[in-house]
Amino acid sequence: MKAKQLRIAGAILIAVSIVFLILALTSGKSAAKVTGDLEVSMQTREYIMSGVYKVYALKDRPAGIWAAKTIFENKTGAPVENLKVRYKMEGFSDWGSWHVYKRLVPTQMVVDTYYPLLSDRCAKQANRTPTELTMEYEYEDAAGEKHSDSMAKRLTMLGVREVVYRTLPLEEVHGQFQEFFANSPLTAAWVTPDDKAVGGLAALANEKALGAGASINDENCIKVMREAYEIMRTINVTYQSPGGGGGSFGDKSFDPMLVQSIQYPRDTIRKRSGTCIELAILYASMLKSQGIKPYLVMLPGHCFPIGQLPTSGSFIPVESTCVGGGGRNSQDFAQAVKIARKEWSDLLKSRQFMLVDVEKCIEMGIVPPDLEPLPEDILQRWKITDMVAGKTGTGGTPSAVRPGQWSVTLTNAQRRLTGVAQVQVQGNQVVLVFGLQYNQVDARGVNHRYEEVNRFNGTIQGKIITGQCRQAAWKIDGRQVRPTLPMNLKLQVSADGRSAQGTAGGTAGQVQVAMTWTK
Amino acid sequence: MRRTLTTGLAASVLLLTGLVTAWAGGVSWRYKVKYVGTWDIQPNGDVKAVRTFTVPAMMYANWKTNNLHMKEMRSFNPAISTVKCDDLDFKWDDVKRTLTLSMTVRGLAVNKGDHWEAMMAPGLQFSNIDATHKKAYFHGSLVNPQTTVNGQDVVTFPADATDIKNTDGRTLRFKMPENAAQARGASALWWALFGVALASGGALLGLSIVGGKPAKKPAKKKT
Repeated sequence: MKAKQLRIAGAILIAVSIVFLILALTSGKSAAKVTGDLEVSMQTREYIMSGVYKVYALKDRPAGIWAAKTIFENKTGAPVENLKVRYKMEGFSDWGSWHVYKRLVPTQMVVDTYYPLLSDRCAKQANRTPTELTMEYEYEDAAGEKHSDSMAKRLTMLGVREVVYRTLPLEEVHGQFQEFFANSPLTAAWVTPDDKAVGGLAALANEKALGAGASINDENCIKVMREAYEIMRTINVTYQSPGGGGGSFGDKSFDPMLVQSIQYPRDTIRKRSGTCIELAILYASMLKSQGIKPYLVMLPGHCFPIGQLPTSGSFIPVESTCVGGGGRNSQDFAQAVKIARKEWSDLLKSRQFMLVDVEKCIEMGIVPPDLEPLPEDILQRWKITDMVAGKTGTGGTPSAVRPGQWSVTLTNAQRRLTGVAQVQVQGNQVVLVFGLQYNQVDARGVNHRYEEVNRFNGTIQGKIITGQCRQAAWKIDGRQVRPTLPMNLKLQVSADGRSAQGTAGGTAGQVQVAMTWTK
Repeated sequence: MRRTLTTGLAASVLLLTGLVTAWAGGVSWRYKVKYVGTWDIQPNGDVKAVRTFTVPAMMYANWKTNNLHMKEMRSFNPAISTVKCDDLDFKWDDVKRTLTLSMTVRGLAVNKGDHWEAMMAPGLQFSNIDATHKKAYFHGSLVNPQTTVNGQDVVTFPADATDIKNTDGRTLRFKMPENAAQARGASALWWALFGVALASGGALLGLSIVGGKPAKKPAKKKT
């Protein structure tokens, strides 16, 4: 090409490149001026629940389980780039990873929430502890200048046995039960089927049920449920009315204040007492450890458990406070179910309750904290196995035979009679009062009506009762007659103290005695 | 809790049916509830949301008598909610038997740098995207023994939005001009380099032409 042409081409190329340069420099970041600030405000929870520390970090967590919430609003008038936020909680959580927001256009708002990954130190939190939550952030403004800042707030880490049920401020609550107990699903974190104390006690109950596989069929399931309840009575777990419960829920277990204290099942077993929710949680834990699907029913001022049958899917509610205590008599499983069924039926009409599906909550990740491991022989150390085996303890431990009403069957070669016995026990002294009514035909074929009340005073040594009757009242056809005394009694009591067999009689003859405790 | 479009308002559908069940006390007929929702995504990521339910008269009376809407609106309380809602409002229409909940959910659509994202609540069925009118359509349906609920939600994108997609049935993606400008900005350096290279090449070419020897003219023959 000629020089002139080359010069022209060069000039054109230079002009084109300058145009490209201008395009490149004017595209991309806007030339807007920074006229205001990035507004930042942070809101934190008043309490963090150490008992559910694992729940905070769940991907799909229950609503309201956040520790802090930071709101950024871009009022700079220009875009903000690379906003990064992170948090930590002093003593419980290190700095988390940065939450990055690439770009905030003018007036854009970002709500960043902090779900802390808390350390297992939380499981050792016996009491409340203050802590500090710190948030730090950084960003670039439109001019490319970097900014950073931090904010900190004090909050309280609750003890591992404490739970906050209400999520709304009190002034926002209308008064419906569900509003006071919105965090009810978190109660599932207190169900500890894998705890050695719970598993051991449940296994003992299963032995009593002759190893019935609870998940095989409904009948076996009910057997296990019954024995799980009865073993609580055997080891003398009692209902303890909570102190100081007031407010609109009266004298029930729930304190309408924000924070509720709930002991774990191992504590209930060790102390042999608990509030309604603690007894319900213990029972639910035992059911779960035996493969029975448990639920917790939470209603104003109360809580009771439900077991679901494997085949029919039916609910078996159990009033766990019927174990006795708190001014109430101990009642058997059948009665506990009867009372709970009535409660459940009333609740289905009123709808003032929350049903906690324990298994579903566990699947969601609402699981117990890692409590201190217990030794294998913990039930022995707590004298539980001795109580179940029927050995008497010292100072307040139960005797081998249950006081109360017993059903009695007397048999000999000629006849079989049934009656009732009242048993009273004081130390190793025992009083058995037998009441019998029966008909008998005499040698002439005449039918007579017999009534006997026989009082045996005796002693109990180990599982053997020996006694003698020197006081009785007999009637034949309504007329007082002289009893044939003395009569002697010897009975062998079963391991659980609820049945006995032996012999009784005197000069008139001997009968076989079989007794079963009823109430 | 993940922030989604229809957060809270999806729950309101469920709440509606749950309360109907409670109040009906075992009545065997089925209530039919319809709803229509509009979700206008603003250029700054805020979403103006309105959901209108048309309910049977008995349900309407129950809600109004018992102020049940207050319970519904509590789910947006800052003490619980992970979204910030401004202009929360609830309206009754006695003639049409409608309950209308409206609000502006701040920052619900998120700027990811090279695109924006907004996520729909689970349980809603994606229908289609109308790219011309910049709308996306979802349907919702809920059936329980006492109630059937059916409705439609319409998501409207900003006027400048482009490349609107539904990536997984729930996530709506779109681009705004600043996303395109950012993309251009990312190559600004390359454009500058290209310009400098061209300018340098052109300058060298020009210099070589100016500094080089002129072409020899052919010698004139002497006569």
